[in-house]
Amino acid sequence: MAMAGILITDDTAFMRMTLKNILSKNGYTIVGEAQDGLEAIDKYKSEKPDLVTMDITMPKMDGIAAIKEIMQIDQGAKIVVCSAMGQKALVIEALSAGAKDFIVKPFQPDRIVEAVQKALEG
Amino acid sequence: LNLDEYKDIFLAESREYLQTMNQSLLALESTPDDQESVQQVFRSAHSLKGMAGTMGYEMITQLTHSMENVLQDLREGNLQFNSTLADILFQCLDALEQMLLEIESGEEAQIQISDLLKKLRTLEQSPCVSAEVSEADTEVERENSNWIPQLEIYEHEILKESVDQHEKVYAARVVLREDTLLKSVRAYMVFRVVEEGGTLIKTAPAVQEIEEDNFGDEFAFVFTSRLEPEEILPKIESISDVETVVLVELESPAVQNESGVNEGTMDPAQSEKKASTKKMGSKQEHKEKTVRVETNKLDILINLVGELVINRTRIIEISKSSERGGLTEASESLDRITSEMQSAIMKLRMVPIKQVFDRFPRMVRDLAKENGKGVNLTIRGEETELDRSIVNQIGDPLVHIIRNAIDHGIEAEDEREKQGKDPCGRIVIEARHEGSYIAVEVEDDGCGLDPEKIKASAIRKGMISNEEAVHLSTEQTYQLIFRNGFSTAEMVTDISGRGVGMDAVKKIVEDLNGLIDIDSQPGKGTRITLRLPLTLAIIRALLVSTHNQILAIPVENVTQNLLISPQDIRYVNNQKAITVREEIVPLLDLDELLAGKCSPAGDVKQDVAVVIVGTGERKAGLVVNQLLGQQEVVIKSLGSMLGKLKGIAGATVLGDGRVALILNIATLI
Repeated sequence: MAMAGILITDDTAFMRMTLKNILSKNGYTIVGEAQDGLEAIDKYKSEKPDLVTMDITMPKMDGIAAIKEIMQIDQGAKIVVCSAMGQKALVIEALSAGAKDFIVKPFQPDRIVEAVQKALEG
Repeated sequence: LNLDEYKDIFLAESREYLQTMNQSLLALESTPDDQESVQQVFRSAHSLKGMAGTMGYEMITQLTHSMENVLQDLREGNLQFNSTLADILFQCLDALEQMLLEIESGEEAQIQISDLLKKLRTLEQSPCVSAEVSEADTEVERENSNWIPQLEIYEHEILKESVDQHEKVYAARVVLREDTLLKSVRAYMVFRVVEEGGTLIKTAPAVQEIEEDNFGDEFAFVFTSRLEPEEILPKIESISDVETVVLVELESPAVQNESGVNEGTMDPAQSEKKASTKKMGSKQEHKEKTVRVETNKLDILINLVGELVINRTRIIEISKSSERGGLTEASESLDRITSEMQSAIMKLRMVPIKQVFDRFPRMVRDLAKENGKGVNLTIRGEETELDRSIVNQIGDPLVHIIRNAIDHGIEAEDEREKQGKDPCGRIVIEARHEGSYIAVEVEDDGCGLDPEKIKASAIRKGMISNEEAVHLSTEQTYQLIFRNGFSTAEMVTDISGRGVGMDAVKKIVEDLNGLIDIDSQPGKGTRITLRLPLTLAIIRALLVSTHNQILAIPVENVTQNLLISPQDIRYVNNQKAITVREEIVPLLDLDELLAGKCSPAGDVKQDVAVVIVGTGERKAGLVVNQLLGQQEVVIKSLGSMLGKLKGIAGATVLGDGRVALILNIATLI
């Protein structure tokens, strides 16, 4: 399989950087970064990533609304939610909105890679 | 996440697991190839590890993890069960128990586990098989269907409907990675997969528990689906953090329903026809039928019912003197309902004495081993129920009695053989109902008590004189054992034989309004019987009046009521006494006794009522003004201001609102 392209969505630059490092080290191409839900939707349309990582709490448009929108655009969209501990209800909401999997902060590299890999396969 | 609020439940559950492990290890000692027990210990250690990990108790996690490794080897046959292994595992359990105590009291961890960890590590065999482990795991689980959740009748109805629609019934067990975060969400993802093609019927633990992340690393569930196992399994396996999945298809329940439903619940695991499932099944069933309630909530309820009972009596008295017709009927039905409520509530206080007995097999094993003696323990009547507060206090006295039996009662093996006895000693612990008492007996077939030896020892210690010794009956001689500072042990061991035990035992039993008896035959054995009241909260009491107050005497302590005339009174050692059934009983004036004067009864110029009370061997005649009758009274504590008053067990409120003190005969006379 060709290098999968990934769109990273997170409102903090630190998190985006962390994710970017981990994923590119493991052979994924980062096709774009978004700081909020609205930007994620725009980038999804323009970059057509194979997978999106989606933070839940973000300004302008939160992750859950963004997941719903993206699923509307593309039923086959592959989205992995990034959540913090204690966001159980939100994670479940995101999953029922169509997200494939979730990872919990603080991130552990192998978990992220595993989740992304599984989501791309499934 | 505030973990403090989970601490209580963590402690309670952990202790249950420890108990299970203790029992299973004991079972393993007698049948070393009992796979079910190995499983039990393994599962318990595993669950404990998971719980401790969540709570952040590092030491417990470490220790249980190492235990798990050893148990894993055991389970796979890489390791043979032997007594060294058993000893180390038992030590681990003790260490865990200690850690729980430290957690409970909030103390700094004192206990060192590095030694234990080292011991465990030497036991462990080559730890290189991690790749095969999960497979072996799966194999073992397949063998064993204990984990399958039990279904209630209504759940069977749902199952039946699904089966009618040609859906299949499955049970699945999912183990998550140990360090999984948001486990509940993982479970949710699993259930979502399941519900794509069917219906989730039941989960273990319950859905709510799972939703609240209240489970270890694993959960199990029963569901129906129109999909084939090959379609479902990969989907669950592909969920992140899912380590292993076991999926079994259960036989359609519709066929066997007829026979199963009669029993109230049916075990779907039966369809797997495994004999071992039964035991576990019934245990789970038991769990689902109980609710954990904090004991102080229960105490409040019991207290309130006590108040209600008192007020009921009052209302009935008022209604008797009232003209209004309806009131009598209403108060009669109030009477009936409160009586029923009272007995129902009292049952809540009752707990099986098993709670206390459970620790004895382990204790007897350890003590016997230490002393190099063989001891066979038989426990009977562990389901006998007793008031919770009595159960809480009866443990230590029993421990002491059992220790004595092993230390001093049971002879060494060669000695026993010489006497033609079975080289292995026998101890029987039994609880049973005996009227309004519960009798708890500890019997051994050891050397028995030698009255002459006891007398000699008592004389040597200056407790009695030579002349007194001659006149003592065998029973009276045995009573010497309960005196402060008595011990006949030729060799003082570190656990008993210091002479500070039996007097404490007697005191605890008497504080509980109980009695203690010794029966012994030299060379044959000793039997110690404790008789304990069924309950402490409500007792039957004889109400008596003195010159200035009403007093309640527990009927257990009352042996007789008499009317005596002045000429019945004799003087023994300048003390007033009367003869009751050829026994001389000192006569005491209740008012004076309570006033702290131990002076004998004052001048008796006319016939007076005397209540003969007794506790154990001691008896006394209490001079009272009037006998008022028997009544059930609710014992209320006097509160911390007054604390423990000599001779007073508590107070009660009578039907007319007056307060009566309840006498504690054991400390009074």
